Amino acid sequence: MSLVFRIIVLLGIAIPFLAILCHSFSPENPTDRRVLVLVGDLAIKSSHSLYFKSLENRGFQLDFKLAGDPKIALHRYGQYLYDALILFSPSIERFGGSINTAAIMDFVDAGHDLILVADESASDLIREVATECGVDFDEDPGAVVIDHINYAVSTTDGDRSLIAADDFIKSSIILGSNTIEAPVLFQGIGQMVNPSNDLVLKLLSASPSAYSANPKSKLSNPPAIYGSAISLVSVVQARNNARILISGSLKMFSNQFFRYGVQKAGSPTKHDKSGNEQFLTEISKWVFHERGHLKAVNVRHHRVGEVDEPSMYRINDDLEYSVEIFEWTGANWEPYVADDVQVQFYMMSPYVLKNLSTDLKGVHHTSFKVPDVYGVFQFKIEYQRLGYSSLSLSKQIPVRPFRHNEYERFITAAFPYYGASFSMMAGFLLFTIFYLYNK
Amino acid sequence: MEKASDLMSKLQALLSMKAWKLKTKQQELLIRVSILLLVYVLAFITRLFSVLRYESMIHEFDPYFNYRTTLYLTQNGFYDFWNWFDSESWYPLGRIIGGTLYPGLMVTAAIIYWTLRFLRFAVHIREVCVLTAPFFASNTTLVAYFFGKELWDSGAGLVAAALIAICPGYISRSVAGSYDNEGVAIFALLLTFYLFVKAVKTGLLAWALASAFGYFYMVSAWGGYVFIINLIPLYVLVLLVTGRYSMRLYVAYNCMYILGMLLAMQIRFVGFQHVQSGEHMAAMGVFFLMQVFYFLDWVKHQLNDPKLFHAFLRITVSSAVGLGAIALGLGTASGYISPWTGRFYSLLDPTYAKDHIPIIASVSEHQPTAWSSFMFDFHILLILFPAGLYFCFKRLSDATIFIVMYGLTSMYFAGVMVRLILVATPAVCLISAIAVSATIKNLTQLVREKPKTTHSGSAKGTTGTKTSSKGSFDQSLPFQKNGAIALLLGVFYLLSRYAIHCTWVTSEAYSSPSIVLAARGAHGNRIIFDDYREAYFWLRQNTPPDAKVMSWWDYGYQITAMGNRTVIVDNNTWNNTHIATVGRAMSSYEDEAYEIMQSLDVDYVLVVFGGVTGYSSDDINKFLWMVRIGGGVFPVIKEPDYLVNGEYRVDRGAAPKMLNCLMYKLSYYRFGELTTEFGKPPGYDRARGVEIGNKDVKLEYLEEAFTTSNWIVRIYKVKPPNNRW
Repeated sequence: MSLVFRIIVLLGIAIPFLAILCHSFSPENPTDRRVLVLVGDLAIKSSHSLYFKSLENRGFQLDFKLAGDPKIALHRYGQYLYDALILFSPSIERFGGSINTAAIMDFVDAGHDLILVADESASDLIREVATECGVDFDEDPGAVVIDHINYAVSTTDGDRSLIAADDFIKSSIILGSNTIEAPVLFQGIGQMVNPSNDLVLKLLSASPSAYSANPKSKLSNPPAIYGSAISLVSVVQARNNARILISGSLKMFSNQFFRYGVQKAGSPTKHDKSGNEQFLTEISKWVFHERGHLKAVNVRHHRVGEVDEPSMYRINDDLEYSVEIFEWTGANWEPYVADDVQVQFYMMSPYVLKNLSTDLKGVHHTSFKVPDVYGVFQFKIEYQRLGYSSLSLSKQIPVRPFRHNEYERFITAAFPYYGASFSMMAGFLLFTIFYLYNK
Repeated sequence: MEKASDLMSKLQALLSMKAWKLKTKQQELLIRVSILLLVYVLAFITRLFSVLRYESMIHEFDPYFNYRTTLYLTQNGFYDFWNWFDSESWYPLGRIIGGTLYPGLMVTAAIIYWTLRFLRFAVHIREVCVLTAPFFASNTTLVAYFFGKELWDSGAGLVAAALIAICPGYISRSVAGSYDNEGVAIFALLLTFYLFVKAVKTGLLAWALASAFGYFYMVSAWGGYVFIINLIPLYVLVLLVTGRYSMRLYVAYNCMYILGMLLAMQIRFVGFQHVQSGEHMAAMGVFFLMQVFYFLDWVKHQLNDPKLFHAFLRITVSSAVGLGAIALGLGTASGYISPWTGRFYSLLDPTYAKDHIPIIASVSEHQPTAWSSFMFDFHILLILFPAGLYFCFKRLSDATIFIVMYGLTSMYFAGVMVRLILVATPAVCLISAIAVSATIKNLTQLVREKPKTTHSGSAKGTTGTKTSSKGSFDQSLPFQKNGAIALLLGVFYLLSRYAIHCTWVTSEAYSSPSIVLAARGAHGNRIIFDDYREAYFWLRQNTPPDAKVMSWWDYGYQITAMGNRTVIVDNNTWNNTHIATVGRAMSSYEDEAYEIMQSLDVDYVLVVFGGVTGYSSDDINKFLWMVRIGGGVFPVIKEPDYLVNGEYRVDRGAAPKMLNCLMYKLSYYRFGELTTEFGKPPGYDRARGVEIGNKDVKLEYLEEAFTTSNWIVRIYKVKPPNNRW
């Protein structure tokens, strides 16, 4: 009996594990699967269940752990255990186990995704992680974002920190193709995007009338951050295409905010349901690589009329260049169709810059003439579009000058010279004969 | 019957033992040939010290490029070599190897290699390359013999061969492993001169033709051919001015110049330069002058009237000179004739390079020569040289005028640049040989002269004896014989000192491959530092094949040849801007340097550091030139930023920019933790003898990839850009 039990237990462990292996994250299947959710309080699991449910319904395996749990770890034996990390523990001072800021950053730098959520009680640790990602939360510990004009009409909110925000980034790739009708409810702290970081984007900006201050104390100094410079929700797409979502409000993920009706102050329309659910679900699709992920395969180049790729071109060769670009839809790869993909023929600066034309099946191709300059060139594609993962391909190829026997042999313009040399030779011969044998 | 005759013949043979004795002339020939043979072997084996001391390897910097190209030539054949576009050097510009080198050396080595292979000697091309220079040095001794014979007599030729075989000035560039252009070029140079002198002496077209081919070989081997194409016209000009114009000279020069020019233009690297560049204009001018002389001769012959001829002469010469000047001016102004290159200017004016072209001045072998190195390289020849000039002037002929001019001009050039001692060496050896030979000959005659001999005895000797015995020797001075013996002994003492000095210099100074360093330990034992090869093999084994390595240009050839990796700049310093970019990166702060390195796709940075071993020719000591060359093109680099009271320092008193520039950081990274010498604080730099000023070096954009066992070579990897910024 015990043996049978053991086998069942073993199978019970092994089958999900095998299932995990089958569907795990890979370059071929870039959607995340295993997600570690670190919560400050297990009650969040139920109070934010709608959000988690939407993730689970899409096939994510959420592993809930208390942020202070001493057993948590991101990797074991050199392998990462998770594909993404959700931090719903804004006030945590120290993570349990081996997790710290550096470990989280290594996790991201290894190509994994992160959702970082803070609120009024944000700890120094969470602020530090955000700073590492290029976003600074308001330094003032009690400050929240207040807006006296674009607040949400509410019975409970007295200090107008419940904001109805609708200044979204204009990108259907990030936010989905359906426009978000209802404003998003936000209650939390504001963030400033570090100007020296050009990878971070303001996803949801505050209105020009917003400012960040402590509602409980009198405002004696001008607020440190104000207006539309305040970012409510930001995203970062790192150079290795890891995606990070940073939000200053934990409440906006809650079931309560998901279900709220919302009426923006001064606006007659009242929406039955806030935009939070749609907004955050679409964002999670983007963050977890269900959308906006490109891959480029089969980079090929060859001379016109040939098939094989040469190891070297000659100056003024005509060549054809093609690359296949696909977009991940969450389930399969679809051809990516765009007319703005450009290839550079590059040696310290681009000598040729051409748009690639597409055949609607994912193949982008062009043909051009190699410039009249020899050197080590690169075929370069630097395709960075808002919302899409960045494509940066480079392939080195030397370009040589003509060989000694590749020049034109007889040039019409040089016939006088040919004539001159031959007549000189003949003249010399005649002169020699004359000189030697005359007399 | 038969037996009897056999016996008889044997008896006769025994009896005619006297016939075994050779005649004097045959004896002399035998001695001469065996001396030459010994000198030939000596010249070869004295250059093998480097192989004995170290191993059969290629030396220094440029030879590695020559070796790499020779390897390519033997593997891919001549046409591929001729058209070779090398994408591994000067990234990303690349280099057309076939069109930017003198192929003579490589082709020579390849032909030797193919010949040996054809004869079924299974040699490696490296061995051929290592021994090419000694082989050609041996051949040079033969040419020196014939040249000496042509100038003076066969005795002088033998002495010249012996002197040049071991002269340190020549050995420095031709030891085994020193596989450089100069190795074969000196042979070609001397051969061309010899054949030309022979052509002038005989007036035969065949010798002139041979000298044109010698010149062609020289052009194919070394850029120093410019010396020939300027010295020969100068010599011809001197002969014309001194009234030694003759039909022999006309034939020799015209044939040599025209054919030599046509042949030289076949070398891709020279091409049309030979008729268009300023350096070659003197030869062309003299060629035209020659025609004017010939024409005038003819007119003189036709006119037969001195007065009329003088008027004609005045008009012709002034109009010819005027026309030439106008043509030269027009050609230069229109850009058809290119102006003199910087190297040429710096030869004529030693201070030129220092002010205008730091890249030429930065090379140690382009520095003006110190007196000590003259003494080191020539030893007693330095004293014998003026004596030889005296003898040459005493017996002035077309040939001796040539050697005097060659000696004087090359001596001047040797004073301007250290490396040109090499060019002066054959002339110095030849002229000294004349001095030695003439002196010994005179002295031995005195010694052999029987007291109270009649004139008939000495009249039997050669013509040389006749002339000398006509002098004051007839009335023999008191102690004349003893004095002569003493002087002879003195000469032999000097010559033996010379031999000892040469051997010592060769074994101690000139046989170091400079890629493997040797030092004496505390107990006199020999310590070998093989860090360079360690680093290059690390690069070869541990970096991706298309990795780009940035280093100062000195190490470029070695990295491509031994490490097989792409380099940004190398010893072929044709693109000053590219080198200046690297100099700028090395002398900038790390973040600025990172941008430059990113734009050049640099993956690894290699620096040479001698602070641990006390190796003084490292990158910190070369840093001054990086700043100067970088600052010459990019004015953001200012030399005073790196100086304190006009000097470079690395200790605590160093300039702040110096302490934080990339080169300083890469050299001294983690050095502050290391105790190099007992009783000294950690971070004590043994090459400069100071404690370094910035012991806490932190790198942001680079990380240490490899440091060799004695820290001589340090390799850093350039980090990819920050993932989240």
